[in-house]
Formats: sequence, structure tokens, C-alpha cells
Amino acid sequence: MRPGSLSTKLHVKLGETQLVGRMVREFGHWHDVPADALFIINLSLDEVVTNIVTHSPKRPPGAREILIRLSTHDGEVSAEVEDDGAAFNPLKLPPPNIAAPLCERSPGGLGIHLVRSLMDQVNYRRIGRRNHFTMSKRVA
Amino acid sequence: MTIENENINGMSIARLSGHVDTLNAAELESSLLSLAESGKKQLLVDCTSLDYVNSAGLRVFLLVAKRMESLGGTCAFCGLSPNVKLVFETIGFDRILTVHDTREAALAQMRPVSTAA
Repeated sequence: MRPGSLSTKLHVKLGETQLVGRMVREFGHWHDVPADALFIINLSLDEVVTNIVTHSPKRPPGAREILIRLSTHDGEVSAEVEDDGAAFNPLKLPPPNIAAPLCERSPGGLGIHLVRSLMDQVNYRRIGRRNHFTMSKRVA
Repeated sequence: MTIENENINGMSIARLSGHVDTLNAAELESSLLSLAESGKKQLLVDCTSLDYVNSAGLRVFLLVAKRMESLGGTCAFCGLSPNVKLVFETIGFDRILTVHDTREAALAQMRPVSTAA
């Protein structure tokens, strides 16, 4: 992989998740990120941004902007998502019961479970008035 | 995302292609639920051309499978790409949903039930 980074600012709108997909594809193309890792990074960023867009308006003050940054270094791809909404740590959401039979499965909590399971590292920090969610994936 | 519907031997088949995400999950939900409630006892969701699905789409798959089960029917999925398969396995859908490797395998498995009905 070619080392480097790419960052951008998003509006707090669901339609922006399509831009996230385009950004990840472009980034992967320029930095030679393998397709399987790129899929996981795209999905994880999609889930984290979707979470902010759907949940932030319910918790004043709602986020007014989302910053995302992708980088590659030492065989690892990292993604950071920052927003200026109320403090919210998605990693505190209860995990879904993936062992339950079909009739008892609840559809909630799947997104953050995917992020937590598919990325190698996930971390949340509240810095000042901003939420910082970081994640990384090692690439073979 | 595109959804194409077929009827084979009294079975409903929904062929999905492209990306299923938060923006189009409601459209998928309404299409699949109307197939689930059409009176056919078997629904096959053909994912052979599905490139991407996020948790909003997975939630729809779960809802539709539960609806078919509650109506006394069966729902199966086939043709998952490696990426979609990884997502299914990560959230345990491979254990609670019926998944066939290919469309042909799904049709071979599901046909005897429909002809007997």
C-alpha cells in the first residue's frame, strides 16, 4: 500500500453515506488498498456515519458537521470519524444476541457489532466538545 | 439497487443487484414484504449480483425471514459474494437463515416442497 491520507467534511445528512463510499473507493485506488479490506472499511465508515446522522438529532446539541479521515501506514488502514454533537459512545451500545434463534432476533445494534467485529481496533474518545471514533484494519 | 421479481414453480424469487444501504432499505423492505405476503409459501432472495449490504439491509432480511416464518412459509438466500457472506457470518445470519451457495442449489433444494404443495 502507498502511504498517505485523505480527509473531508460531511453534512449531517444520510445522503452523505454515498459520498463516503466514493471516497473510500478513490482512496483505495490511489493507495493500493486490497479490495477485501476496502469493503470492510467502507462498511464500517458507512455504519459509523449513519449512526451519527440518525441518532445525533435526538440528542441536543445535534452534530452540525462530520469530519472523516482515512490513512494508510505500516500495513494498516485507519479511519477517523469526528463530530460536534452531544457526547455519544456507540461502543457502549449492548451487543446483539447473535446466538438467538430467528424468532427472538432483534434487528437493533447490528451496525456497530459489524464495525467492532470486522475492524481490528475500535476506539471512542470525547475530546472537548467533539466525539472521536477511530478504527483500524491490518492489511495482509 | 435493483430488485427483479420472478415466479418459478409457485416460488417467489427476488433478484437483488448493486448496493443495499440505509438510503434504499425502505424500498427493499416494502418490496420483499409484499412478496412475503403474496401468498407464496417460498421466497428466495437471490444475492448473486448484490455487491454491498449494510446493517439497514440486513435488518430488512431479518424482518422478511421472520415474516415468512410467522406466515408458515420459508425464506432462503442464495449466491452471496464473499463480502456479503462475511457480513452474514459476522452477525450470525448463516445460523438462523437458510443460505444456499448458488441459485441452482437453492432451486434444487426448494423445488420438491413446491411441487408437493
